[in-house]
Amino acid sequence: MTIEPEHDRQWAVFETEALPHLDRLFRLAMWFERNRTEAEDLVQETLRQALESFHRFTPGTNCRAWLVSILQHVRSNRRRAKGRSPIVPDVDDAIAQATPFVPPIPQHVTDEDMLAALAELPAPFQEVLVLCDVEELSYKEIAHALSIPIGTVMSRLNRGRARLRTQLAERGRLADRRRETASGQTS
Amino acid sequence: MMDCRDVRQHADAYLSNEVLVETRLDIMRHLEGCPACRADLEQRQALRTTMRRAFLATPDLEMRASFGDAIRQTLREDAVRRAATPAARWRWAAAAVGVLAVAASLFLVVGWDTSRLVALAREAWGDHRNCAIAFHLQEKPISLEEASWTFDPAFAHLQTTPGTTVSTPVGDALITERHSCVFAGRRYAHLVMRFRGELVSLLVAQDDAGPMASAIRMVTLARGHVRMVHVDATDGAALFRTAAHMGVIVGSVPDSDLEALADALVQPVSNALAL
Repeated sequence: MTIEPEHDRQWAVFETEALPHLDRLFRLAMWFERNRTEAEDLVQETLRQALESFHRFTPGTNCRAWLVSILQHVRSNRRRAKGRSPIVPDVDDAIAQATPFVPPIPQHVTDEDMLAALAELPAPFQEVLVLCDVEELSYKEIAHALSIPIGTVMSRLNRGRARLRTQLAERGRLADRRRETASGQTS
Repeated sequence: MMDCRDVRQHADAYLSNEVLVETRLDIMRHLEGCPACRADLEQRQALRTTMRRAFLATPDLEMRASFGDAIRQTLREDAVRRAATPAARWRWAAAAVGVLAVAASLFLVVGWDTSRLVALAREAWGDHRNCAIAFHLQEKPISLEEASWTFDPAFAHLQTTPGTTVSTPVGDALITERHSCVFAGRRYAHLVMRFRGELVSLLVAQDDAGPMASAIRMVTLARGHVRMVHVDATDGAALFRTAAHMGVIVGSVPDSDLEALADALVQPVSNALAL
């Protein structure tokens, strides 16, 4: 079966606008799901819904942000359907008390340390940090994707960064101790 | 004039280009004369760069090439299927116009009640488009369980009934989402399905008609029976009535498919809502 010219054109635009983000979208899904099969399923459903409502996408706007919104929506609905707790519980107030001290910005952070430290943060902080620093979405786009107010995005980013620095500093201290122990054993 | 504390407070928003122009200029002025804040900013930027590089480079998050190929193929096939749908939709629309003409005399008798059904179908289409397809609802959907505590206890039974797959003579419908949402002031239990290559919604709301309207509805829409109505030339809806609820099925599939799906759903949904 061949596609009618109008649909052929629409497919071509979708292929040009949306599909180049497939790899990034998958990385995001994989990071959040931690399971390849679930990540593939999530990305597939996201792109199917994106294709279906592609006529609603405004050309010239950020297509990746639009896809991320759909992905988060699908993910959120799936979690609800599975009866899991909401992705975003009232974590902000609880965590606000937990980050009274912000350590200095660590230097010479390895990729492995960074990902390990990020993975140790509560999910709501990981979400905003990844969407802001990796996906480079604006605060407004993040707020839309996660269905939370911009103020919440900003406060989660602040606290998330502080927690990340704490985690990285802790990892740095552990690495220093290991090095000291190793050099003590050598001498 | 900003001091170091002000600058550090705005530093990350500055790097994200999320500060007002005036604030940006103030920060830039401060940075010109403050090497410590410049170093702080560079370190913050370095952390971001590391996170981005690590995230985008780690092989643990890499997509399988075969998945990329497969999904492209699947989406392309979806596009072909969808391309075939509008023509069919117009044929069914033409048929529906004929059916509507024949039904005109009946409409005179129960017209006002039918118009209520059409209004309900129109709202259901609105919810389907704004919730299932475009995600533009003003109020965030909640789980059926939560809705059952606050709004309608019967919604809890739709968490598991019908099951994930609904068999119809024209193919299976796969339920992909269940939640409760609000559109145009009406609260629904919303089940989103993939059916015949399209997203289709089953929306269940409390039957809020008074006794007189219900009596007339017995003629217009007998309990347990499916009734097709049209919102316009293309948007059809299959409606059914249970003891205390109305069910509406909408989606861009031919009327006969909507009706087949409604026939398959009316009994299990009615039974579940009556529990």
